[in-house]
Amino acid sequence: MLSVSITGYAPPCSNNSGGISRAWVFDPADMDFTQATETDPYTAVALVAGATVVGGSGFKPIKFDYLEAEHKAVQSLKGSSNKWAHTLALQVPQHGQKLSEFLLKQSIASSCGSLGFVIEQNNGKVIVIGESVVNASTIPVFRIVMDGTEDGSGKAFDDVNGAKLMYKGDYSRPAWEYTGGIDAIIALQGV
Amino acid sequence: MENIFEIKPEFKTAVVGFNNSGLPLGKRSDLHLLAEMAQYSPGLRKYFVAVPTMEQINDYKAARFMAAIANTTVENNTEKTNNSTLPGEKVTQTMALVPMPKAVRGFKAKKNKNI
Repeated sequence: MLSVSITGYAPPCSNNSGGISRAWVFDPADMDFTQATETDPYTAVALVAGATVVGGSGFKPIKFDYLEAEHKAVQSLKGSSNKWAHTLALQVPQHGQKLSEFLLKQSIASSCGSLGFVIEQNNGKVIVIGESVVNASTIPVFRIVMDGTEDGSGKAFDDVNGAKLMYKGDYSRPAWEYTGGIDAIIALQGV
Repeated sequence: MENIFEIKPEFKTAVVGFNNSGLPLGKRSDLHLLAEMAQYSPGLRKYFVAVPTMEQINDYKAARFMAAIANTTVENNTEKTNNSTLPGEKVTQTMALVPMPKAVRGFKAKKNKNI
């Protein structure tokens, strides 16, 4: 008799392009995801009681350079302890005031709390990292913070002028998928 | 049909993203899905005047399914009746919707050839 629970993996064949299409950052305390069981994808999302888009909550889009974003989750094992090291890299344009303000807010949020992200991939699947509230309950801390971002002008005309945003966070599992549809995310979009 | 998915007035403009839509709850026609999720997600229960039981939701889904089938049948029959010129044609067309086995098709072709 097996002492572990395993399953096979055989997804139906489909177009499976790499890369990220769109990304949103959110305050993990503001968004409540719905999940049938602990290993099911998220099927719905709503603002927690008291949070409003007008009041500053919601999913905030991050417009990055085309095909310049990547999420990775690297697993490692020490003894019986699993670690999934999540990283999210996004290259955003225009080294200037607006970017500086954005970076300042992201760095303050990172030192005081954490950040959540909804990531729409080019294969159509949407994943979530850094979430905090599921089925109206707080889950174990999934802390994603900005760490290692580089902001600069570049040297040559064809160098990157802007920032290479870097977000990092360790967790006990890979990212869960959100299957409620991207239109639902856009409906809860703030500025 | 009785509305068992009534949303509280204060949440009619609230947005819950699910089923690929972010329309306000007061404008949704797929609240049975939200009610289904509310069975295991307490945060979603607050939107309903009364959260329907799983049995009620299943009854609703069954009734909706039967209504959809009835509508399709009526539409198909109306179309066929409108196009029919010969008596009994309606029956023939209904049968034609079922794919015919290869052997039967061959038999029919041969028979026609002989004629």
